[in-house]
Amino acid sequence: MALLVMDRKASDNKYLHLDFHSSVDNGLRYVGEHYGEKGVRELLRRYTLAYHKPRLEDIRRRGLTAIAEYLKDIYEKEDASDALRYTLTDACLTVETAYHPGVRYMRSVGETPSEWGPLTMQVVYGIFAEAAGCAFSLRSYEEQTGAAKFSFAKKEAAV
Amino acid sequence: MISCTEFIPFYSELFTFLEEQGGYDAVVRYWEHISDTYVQDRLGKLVEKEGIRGCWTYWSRSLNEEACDFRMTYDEENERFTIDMRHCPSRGMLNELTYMKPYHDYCGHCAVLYDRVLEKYGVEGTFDFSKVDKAQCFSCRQMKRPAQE
Repeated sequence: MALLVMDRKASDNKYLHLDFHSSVDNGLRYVGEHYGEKGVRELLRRYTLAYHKPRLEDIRRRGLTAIAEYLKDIYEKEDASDALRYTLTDACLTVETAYHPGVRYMRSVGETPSEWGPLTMQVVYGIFAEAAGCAFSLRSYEEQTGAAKFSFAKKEAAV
Repeated sequence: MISCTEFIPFYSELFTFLEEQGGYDAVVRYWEHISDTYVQDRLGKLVEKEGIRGCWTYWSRSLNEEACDFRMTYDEENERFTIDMRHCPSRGMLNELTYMKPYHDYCGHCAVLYDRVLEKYGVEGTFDFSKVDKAQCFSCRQMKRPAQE
């Protein structure tokens, strides 16, 4: 009869549990079904203001550079640096992503992402943009892959 | 994008949001919904196929991907599966985000999500959540034994 034992330290593995993309999506889908778009917006707003509080302070101090550094960091953590390209100037951060790591993962395991991907970007990045004194614009979002083009532009430059 | 590495604070805020909308019952209803629609298809299918050893298969993947500090055992003879979580990165992350207020029963989701499924296959769970403030917990799942005559 088998007696199996597995003993691991945190440092034995990289923290990357892609199923959590499905879990985020499940949460948004559920809130959308029960509380509508208004509920989804409110949840995303609360999450961003609560979790990203220190980041928003950083963005207020350092502007678009802080946003660019955040995006670079998060795509590296997702092992998806190849998906991210951006151009940063004093007045504008223009971003192009070849795919969304969560959408790619969910499709790879036969799941269909909910409709809330673009709204998530609009709310979360919209709050980032506001902190930087910018306007956020989602120029395109491709449902199958989550590929997107978006920008953060200084309000005077966006006119 | 909300990265999978940022999921834990999102989950905590989701529970808080649901409780504000409909009380604690609304949170439990969500956990039951996820258990029935998501965990059943994953953990449930494994346990259906492998018996309680399916727990070993399921958590072998997720605990490693979540970079947990843990000791996991599976005793085939006694049909007993345990997880000694010495540091849960999910709870640990919430404990470290001192500027955020974590959902008051964040760890409660574990018992509902997984054991609602496991009970269908005759597996009963016991837990020690007394050290979640240190991101530690202990769980034991065991096949129910028929009562001795």
